[in-house]
Amino acid sequence: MRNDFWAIVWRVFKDRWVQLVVYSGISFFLVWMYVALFPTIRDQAEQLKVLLETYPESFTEAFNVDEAFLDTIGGFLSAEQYSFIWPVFAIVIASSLGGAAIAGEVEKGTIEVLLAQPISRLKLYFAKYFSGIVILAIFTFVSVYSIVPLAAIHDIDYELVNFSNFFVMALLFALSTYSIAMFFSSIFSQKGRVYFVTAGIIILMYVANIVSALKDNLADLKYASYFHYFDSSQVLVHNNVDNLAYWIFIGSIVIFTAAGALIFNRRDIAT
Amino acid sequence: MNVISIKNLKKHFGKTRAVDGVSLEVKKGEIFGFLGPNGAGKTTTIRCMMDFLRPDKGSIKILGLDSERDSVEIDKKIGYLSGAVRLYDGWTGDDHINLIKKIKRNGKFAKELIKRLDFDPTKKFYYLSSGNKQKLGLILAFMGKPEVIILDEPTLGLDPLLQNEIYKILKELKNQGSTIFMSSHNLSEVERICDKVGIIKQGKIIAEENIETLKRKAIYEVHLYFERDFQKSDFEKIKGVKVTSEFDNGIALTVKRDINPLIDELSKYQLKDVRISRASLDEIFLEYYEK
Repeated sequence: MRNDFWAIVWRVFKDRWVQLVVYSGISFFLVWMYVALFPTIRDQAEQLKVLLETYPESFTEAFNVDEAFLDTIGGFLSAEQYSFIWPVFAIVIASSLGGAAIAGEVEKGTIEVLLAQPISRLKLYFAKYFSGIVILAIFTFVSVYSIVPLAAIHDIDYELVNFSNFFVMALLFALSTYSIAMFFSSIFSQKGRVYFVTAGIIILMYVANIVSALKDNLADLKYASYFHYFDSSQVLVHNNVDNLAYWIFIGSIVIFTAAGALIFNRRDIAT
Repeated sequence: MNVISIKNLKKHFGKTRAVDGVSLEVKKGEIFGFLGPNGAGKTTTIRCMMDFLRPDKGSIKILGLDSERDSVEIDKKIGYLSGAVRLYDGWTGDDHINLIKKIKRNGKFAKELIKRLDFDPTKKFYYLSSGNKQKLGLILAFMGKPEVIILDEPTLGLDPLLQNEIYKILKELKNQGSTIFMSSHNLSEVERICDKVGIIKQGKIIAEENIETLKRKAIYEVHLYFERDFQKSDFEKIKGVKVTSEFDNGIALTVKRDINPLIDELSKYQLKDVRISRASLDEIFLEYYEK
């Protein structure tokens, strides 16, 4: 690929590195906190398991609480960090990257500077898209592989294969959200709308996943939710990787990215 | 050779006909002034030329290439300044210049422009005054010494000294072979540097003339001082003559185009004094705007 593609990727990265460092740093310190707490929690596992048994099964299922979550660091991190807090971070970063990539540039009027350069709209779209992939990959890498130094510091056993599989799944989840944001960024001319619609869709998916576990007649709703496929405890505790989840995420990445690129290539840009 | 050729360009936004059948041609080495009142369709036409907007109908060729299909090729040879310069708040002038240099692989003129426009490229865009923002926009447009330069209000917000420097740069670029297409509200600037003008109103081109031809169409302002009484109606009946004011033994008139019928009428009178001056191009443009 030519200079122009990398020039734009590098520029986006330079503009976003503070956000990347802040979110990655927070994620790292949260993992550190949970890793440090884990030995104490594990010692009280029996009491906590008794307490957990008092909850309805559908409730623990709805919130992805695995009965073995106190036995391994993977299970504990899944329950405390990766099943809710981490996805929230990923959604915020993905929406903000996607919203700023096209709609934000149209809103500010800066898109004209880029469109006036000898770079096709598709190349511009994919340069922006690629910079987002790099940022999300770094964030996900730090969030997941921070276990390596932290487990060594606190002398805790972990399964690297499980964490590696989880890294792939987490990255695909983040990229799916990012692709939705890029799709709406290609349609709208205000980044606020992109945030609103993307966040709205993801929240609906989250609610759909919970409701499907609580109501038998709505059980099929879970298939419309990324959170059904993004099952951190299954991967981190049992190394049980659902191939369908990969295909769902990859499929939605391809569909939303391609649709976004086509729309951006054809639309009028009036700033 | 036509560097820019627009044929029957139409761009509608719902019921609004922003551009409604614009056709114009700009030859190599010309400075073309694109004039019109606010909302006439100037910026929409420019955005179609830059392929930001896709025309509903018509064609735009720049350097013989189609503005939509060959936009990447065209953009290699174009320098563009938007109407309100909007760049990245957190970037310095150098950041902007370096990015364009990397993409276009050309920026040989940037250093000289920075010096000539007395621009500080180390400041972030957010902290620049509106004049300095305009300077940066102009540097980005000119820095590759492009074959075609498209400018939307190039001297907006610049002081007269800098305006003069921009006119000088534009003339130098023209002499080096650049073709310049610029929209402007500053009529004296158009009169000063443009070779040709196109006037757009309500999305249609209502005039496309050489500046010299336009000047020949000038309006005359005539002040007549008579020795004796005169009949105002004798002058009012002459085609193209309008009495603008009356004073002791005298009247002031405007005469459009041919002044000879007035001179014939004046031969009947004894005159104490007569003053004839040409109205500025501004008044001619305003005539077009008001038509």
